[in-house]
Amino acid sequence: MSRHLDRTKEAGLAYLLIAPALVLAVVFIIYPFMRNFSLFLYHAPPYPGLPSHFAGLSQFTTMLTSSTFLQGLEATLLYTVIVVPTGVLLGLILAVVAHQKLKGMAIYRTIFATTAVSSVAVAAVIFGTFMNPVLGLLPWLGINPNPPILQSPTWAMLAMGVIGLWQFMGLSFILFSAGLQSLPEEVLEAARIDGASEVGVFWRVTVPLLSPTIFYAITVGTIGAMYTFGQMDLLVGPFSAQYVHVNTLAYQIYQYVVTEPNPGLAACISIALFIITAVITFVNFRFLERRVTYAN
Amino acid sequence: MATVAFRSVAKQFGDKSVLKGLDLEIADGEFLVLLGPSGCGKTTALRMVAGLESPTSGDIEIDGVAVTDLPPRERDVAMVFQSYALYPHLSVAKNIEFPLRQTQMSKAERAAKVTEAATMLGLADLVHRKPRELSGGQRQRVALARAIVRNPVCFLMDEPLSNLDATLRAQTRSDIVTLQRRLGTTTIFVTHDQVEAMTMGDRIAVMHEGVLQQVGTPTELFFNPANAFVAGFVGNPGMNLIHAARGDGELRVGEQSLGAGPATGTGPVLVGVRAEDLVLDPSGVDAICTGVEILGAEVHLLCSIGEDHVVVRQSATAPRPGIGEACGLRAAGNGVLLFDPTSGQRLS
Amino acid sequence: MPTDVLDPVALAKQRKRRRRLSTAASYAILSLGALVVLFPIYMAVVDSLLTPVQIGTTPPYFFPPTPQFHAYADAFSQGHLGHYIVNSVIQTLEIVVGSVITAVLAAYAFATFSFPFKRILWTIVLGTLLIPFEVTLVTNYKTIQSLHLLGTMWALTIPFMVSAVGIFLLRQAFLGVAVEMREAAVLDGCGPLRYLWRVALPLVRPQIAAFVVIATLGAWNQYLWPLLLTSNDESHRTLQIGLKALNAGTFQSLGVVLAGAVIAAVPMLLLMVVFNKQLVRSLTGGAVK
Repeated sequence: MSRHLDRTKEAGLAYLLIAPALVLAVVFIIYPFMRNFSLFLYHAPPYPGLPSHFAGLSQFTTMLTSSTFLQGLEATLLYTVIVVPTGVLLGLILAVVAHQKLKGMAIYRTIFATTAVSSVAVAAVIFGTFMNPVLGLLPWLGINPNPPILQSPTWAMLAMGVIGLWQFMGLSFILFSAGLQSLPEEVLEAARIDGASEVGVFWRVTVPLLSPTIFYAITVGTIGAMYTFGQMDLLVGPFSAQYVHVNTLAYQIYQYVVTEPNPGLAACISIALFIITAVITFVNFRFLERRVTYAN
Repeated sequence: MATVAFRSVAKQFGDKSVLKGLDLEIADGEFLVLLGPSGCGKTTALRMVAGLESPTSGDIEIDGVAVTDLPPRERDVAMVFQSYALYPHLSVAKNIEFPLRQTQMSKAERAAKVTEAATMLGLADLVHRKPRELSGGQRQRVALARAIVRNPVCFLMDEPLSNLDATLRAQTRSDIVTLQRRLGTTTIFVTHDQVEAMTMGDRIAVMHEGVLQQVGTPTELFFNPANAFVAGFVGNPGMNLIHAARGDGELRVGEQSLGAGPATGTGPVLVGVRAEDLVLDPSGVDAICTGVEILGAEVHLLCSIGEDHVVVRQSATAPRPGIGEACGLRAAGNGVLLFDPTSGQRLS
Repeated sequence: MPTDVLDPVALAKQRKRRRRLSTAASYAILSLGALVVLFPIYMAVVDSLLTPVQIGTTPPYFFPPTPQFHAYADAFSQGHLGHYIVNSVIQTLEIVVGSVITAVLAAYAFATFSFPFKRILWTIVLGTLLIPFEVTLVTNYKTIQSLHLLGTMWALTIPFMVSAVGIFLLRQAFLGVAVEMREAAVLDGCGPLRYLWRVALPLVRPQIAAFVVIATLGAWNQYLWPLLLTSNDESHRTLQIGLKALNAGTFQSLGVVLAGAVIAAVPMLLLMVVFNKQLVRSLTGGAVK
């Protein structure tokens, strides 16, 4: 009898302890996410205050085929492709080189990690000043395209990508440094004794053993990149909607929440972006996870 | 097949001296055991032969050639690690094949060698498994197969048996010895377990705090230890060491006689008596029995003579004191050895 | 056989030379990388110490000949950065304290008790990891509006007082506390809450520290939500948005803007240097030793 009471008490206490986190999670994460699936069915009213008009899936399908969305998707994907593979590769190489028992490695490791703690605003502002057509550094280097970089259809996204890459490199470096530290040193020594050169050890032992970390870095990097927003907002600003080449999907969501409120459309884009990112992550997972070798 | 030699090899980590001037020659085809307690420098010495550590001073020679500056991959040695260090992402077959991929062999030749090594170690059925699917004993055999597959001039083994359970250990011990005799490869085997050392080695090099204490066959070490450390370390149990004084042909602890002593010489000594040579004798030296270990037909009596702790071996059926009881001990037989109480060196 | 050697001495020398080359190559690669990484920050600092005239010259100055610190003063006065820093501190503090409390309580419950629907609830918690903030933007704004929290600091902080990352990290931590500890405490007459406060919490301090570091980093560097709420609300604006405003302003010289960037970046750089271990631990999801 008392055991039953104890168990009820225990459950009651547990629910009480979970309650704050759960309530917040439901209110601010789960419910908003779910609500998108009802919002997206409604057109925005022509004047605020009037009821929304049910549109069904047509709004969603129209949006999916609209040029704004497609160009935004292209921009977002381009950005992701610039940032993620390069960031992973650079972070990995630098982490491997910095992992050796040479003097001063700790300093280098600290330096490479700094970009991971910089905010998107700081990175965008600093790089933005470099690209300033009048006062920036790039003009001095002879890079002075017309139109200016941030307004150039060809170069703007590349510039944003460089900023994102600069930031992601730091995180990638930290992840791989930590991963390298947890590698069983004896397995690498065995490879050296077995006759492998340093490069051979890297490709045939280190990289396979690091594959879980590589996979994690790619996943985290991809999700972050697909939702990129800050650089576009800060550098190209409120005119971004006209700047189709940097109008990422996340920026479009922001636009339809703040500048041209249209909850239905914002929800459409949110859902689309979510699904696309989920698919990419899933493909990543299936493709790479098979090659991931877990040591143990 | 090759000889291996340490020439005045010393190693320092920071201000900590791990190896102090090691001179050791290992003959071609010999199975040499590096024996000692943890921290004595034996693993460091082994890793220097492999090329994983560099000596602070001195040279490593393989077949008379100084290899001290050669990286591991150019030394043609193979190593079995305590943790086996198998490549977790490769199958057993690919693990064994790994060392061969650096050579000029064709794919078919490699496959043949892998099969040969796998069969020799009873792994033929397991070649497609990954290390995490294998038991400890199986992993160890894979490590051995990987070591033998390219026929190196020297095997280096770093406590390969310590991760195995007791029954498996005994079996694997004899397997390794048989394998080595069959292949005839020079082998350096590191262990802290003197039973392993005594049963496996052609010769044993006992090390303590970075210094080589004695090198010799198991018999030599057992019957002729060079100092008190070797005497106390080798054998199960190790030799008893009792502080006494010699004079007038007697060995005395205080006023009591421990046993017969040398005709000449006076002064304090450390008396080495094997456990089977120490007997209960009421007319002997006062001792207190602090424990009894029953091993079956034989018992070990743990006693204290003053500050010295000794072990007495006797038949289980013979009368023995209870725990906490006083008793008398005497050194019988003529296997008594004398050591200098401060330096530990053997006195003739 | 070891490679047949014609002249052991020469070969040894060659090997030593090869080792030195690869060491040199390593330093070269690392230095190049460090240059690329540090260069933006370095130039930001340099430019923040130049006069407006110096900034515009070509070739550009790579070192301030006469460091001008008034850019920083201007950032504070014209850019109101002092006020924004205070807001950021309050915002970060609220978020971190809030998310630590909710995470500790929830993680403790998930790790220690058994109760119905536990698995479903845990899946829900983990599920939130998959939902990025941008996707919840639409509704969250509306929610804050309905709760009449617009224009308060709470609007900035309450939505972030729950962190699945924190709950995950701390649950792992609590699971690592030996079951015997709790059993011993129960035998000593210790209730579950007292056990949490006196035994479990002190034992998971390292993981809490790790989470605090990453939560601080995330909160301080937040951009989207503060932008949404404080673009038109100067009184609650955080430092990051203040930096954007500074950048967007037309009367600021580049030096002042960069001074603002440096000011915004320094706290997190200090955090990284001082709490490096905790930062790495939390970024790798607690998988690092």
